[in-house]
Parts: sequence; C-alpha cells; structure tokens
Amino acid sequence: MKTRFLFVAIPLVAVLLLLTGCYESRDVTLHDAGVYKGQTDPLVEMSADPAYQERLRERLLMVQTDR
Amino acid sequence: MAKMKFLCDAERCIECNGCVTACKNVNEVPWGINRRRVVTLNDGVPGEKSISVACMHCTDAPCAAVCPVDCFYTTADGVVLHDKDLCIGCGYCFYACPFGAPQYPSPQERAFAVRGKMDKCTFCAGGPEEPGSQAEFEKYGANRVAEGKLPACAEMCATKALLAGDGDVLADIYRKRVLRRAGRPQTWGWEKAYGADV
Repeated sequence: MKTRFLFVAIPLVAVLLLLTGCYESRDVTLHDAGVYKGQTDPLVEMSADPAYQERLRERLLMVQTDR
Repeated sequence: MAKMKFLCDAERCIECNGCVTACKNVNEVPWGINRRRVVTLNDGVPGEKSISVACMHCTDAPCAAVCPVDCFYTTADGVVLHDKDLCIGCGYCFYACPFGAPQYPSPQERAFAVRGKMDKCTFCAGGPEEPGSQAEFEKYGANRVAEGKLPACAEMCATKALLAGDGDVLADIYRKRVLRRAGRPQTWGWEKAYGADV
C-alpha cells in the first residue's frame, strides 16, 4: 500500500515541480518603438505646473547669482 | 515653458572638483561611478580651461533615440530621466552620448541596488518612483527638484562657474557676466563652432 502511494506521489511531485518552470507572467511589457512604457514619474506632471517653475526660478536667482 | 540646462563658465571654473564631490555626497554615488567630472583642456599650459561635464539633458537626446527598450522619458521642463526597471544595461546610450554621461556600475558592487543598469546625472530629480521615497533614493539618488531645490553640483559651486536651472535665466546671467568682462562670449567650443574672429 505504502509503495503504491510512493509510486503515485513521487511522479506527481516531480510533474508539479517541472510545471512550475512553465509559469508565464502576464505582466510582460510589450515594446513599441519610441514609446516609454515604464513607471509614471509624478515629477513629469509636477514640472508642467507654472508655480513649480516659478519656485525653481526664484531658487536659481537666490542661490546661483553673484552677490 | 522653462527648459532646465547646465552651463559651465570656463573662465570661472578652478578645477576644484567641488561639483563632483557635492554630486557624490548628495546622491551617495559609489566608487567607480562619476555622474559628473571636471575636464581640463591644455592642462599645465598657461591659459588652461576647465569645464564640469555631466548629462546635458539634451532637447533631442541621442541616448533616448538609440535606446532599444525606450527607457528614457523627459519631464515638461526638459530633464532627461530613465527607468532602471526597463534598462537592460546594453550600453548603446554610452556610444550615442557626446558627453560620456551614461555610467555602468560594476555588477559586483551592486551599485544603486541594481546590476549593470545605466546610471547618469538626474539633474537631482530622482526617477520614476514616489518623490523622496527610499526606493527612489536607492535607485536614482536624491530628488532635490521635487523639494524646490536645484542640482547640488551647481548650488555648491564656490565660484558660481557651474549654473543649473532655466536656460533663459542662465543665458541672462552669463550674458551679464560677459558684458562685465568686456569681451566676447568665452563659451567652451565657441571658436570651434564659429571661428576665432566671431
């Protein structure tokens, strides 16, 4: 009885282990030439804000000009 | 719309490498990687000139044009950044870049927590992660721009040779300097581009 169980269990475990190698992620990034498909950077949106640009302009004039 | 640029005044640069140190310090850039470096022309000859070079955040960036996985993107104010999760470390951008800006950390050092991915100056603007997050710092370095600051290299420059910010404002600052010096523009590469008499 025990031998019979082992004859079934061992091949079953082996098949399951082999099948794990066949796993396919569904999160694949398909490439399109010239199209950025990475993570979105919040700075891209932020940098279009005129208030943000004005803040950086003031910083430039405050820190990098001759005194 | 502002366009972020670097400008190095060769008449003021004293080759102190303060910009390199500031960059390494703020972004915790590891040994062997130089996001910025100081190049001296005619070193040791009277009249030698030094300029500080890093990614120039090109308007039509050649690195982005040749990237086979399109990992580059540009912010609204012209800062060229890239996603290290997409980068495959192929090195095409290094061939394309006229400034030698892209760097490739040694896989053994596991610099920036990734293996062999390209690393370059980010204009202290981090990368495509939550601004100011630990993940962003580990992969891309500091995000000073999101805090309303400008790149550390320029802000730390003792002689104010290296400037970083809106290109129009930089041009204005530089123009006023040239007028004060009572000479023609001494921009690096000017003579080669326009001839010695212009």
